[in-house]
Amino acid sequence: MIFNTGAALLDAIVLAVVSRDKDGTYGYRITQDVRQAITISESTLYPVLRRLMKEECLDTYDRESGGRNRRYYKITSKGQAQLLLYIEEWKLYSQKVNQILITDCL
Amino acid sequence: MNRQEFLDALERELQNVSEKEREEALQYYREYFDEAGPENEEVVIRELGSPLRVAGMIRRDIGWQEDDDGLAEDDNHEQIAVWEEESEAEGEEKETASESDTSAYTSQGDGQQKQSFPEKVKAFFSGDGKTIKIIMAIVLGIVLLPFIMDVIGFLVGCVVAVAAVVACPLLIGISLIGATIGIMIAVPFAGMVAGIYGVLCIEGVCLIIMGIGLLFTILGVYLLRAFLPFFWRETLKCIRWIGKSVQNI
Repeated sequence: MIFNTGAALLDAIVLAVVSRDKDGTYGYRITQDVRQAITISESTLYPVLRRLMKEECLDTYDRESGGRNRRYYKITSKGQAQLLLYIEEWKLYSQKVNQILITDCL
Repeated sequence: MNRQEFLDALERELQNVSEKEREEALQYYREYFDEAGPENEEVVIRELGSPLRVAGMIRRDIGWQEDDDGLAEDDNHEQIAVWEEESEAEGEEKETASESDTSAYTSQGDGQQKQSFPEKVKAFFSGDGKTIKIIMAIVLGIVLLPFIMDVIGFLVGCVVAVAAVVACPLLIGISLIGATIGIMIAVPFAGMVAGIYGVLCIEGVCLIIMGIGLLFTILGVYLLRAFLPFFWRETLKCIRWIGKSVQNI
């Protein structure tokens, strides 16, 4: 994976992954899912999750599972709105990049 | 390195952040290790990288939340921003922030802060413990208030003192004249009892005093005319200087 991911794109991907589950998911799962799309270091995720939480795009709650505690992250309505914004931006952006890299070059 | 060593190192590196933040971070990674399972412990540790680096990212994120059109780290490769963040950030802030970003994220540990002071101030107040920091700032302001008031009081006092000195002769002059006029009017009535020579004497003295009063008045007016513009200019200069230094802070 050659292209590095900026913080906004990372936020968008994390929000999208979390929004897939109505009840949210937990950190480990989120990391695995995100890494299906982009190559990032596992240590990158926590700061992102933390920041999204502080910005009130994500909520957290704890749930017991298999005798130990699990912290779940859930998308908020603000997070949902932010995600929609990101999606629109990404459509525009990827379209322009595609135009230059793919369409114009061939 | 094993799981406990990693967590211990992380806890050490996060000594300087608030306890809440530290605990949350540690809890996250403890759970992460739990989820991965003991069989994957080595893999996870390898993937997570150095605990110092992890702590650095967390500290940076806690301290410089404003900074985030920053970059995800991927094995210490140089950061090239692919995604421009059009966020609520003001244009100026965004520009300087994205310039400093590349250097901020490629440096190790705490990261260099090449932001200007207003950004630092803003970032400082947007970071963790926002409320506490605001409260601290207010408390500091209250504590320093007497000092500030003293300084202002002193300056005002100086100005008032000088103004008084300048105005003094005028005031003396006017009061002297006023008093003597009063006496001069009253005396003849008293003199009808005291005798003409007494009256003439007192009138004479009154005239002399009135003369002195007039001199003082003239001196006062002259001083005022000479110094008022000067004081006015100097005061304006001081105010402008204060304004400039506050802006440059």
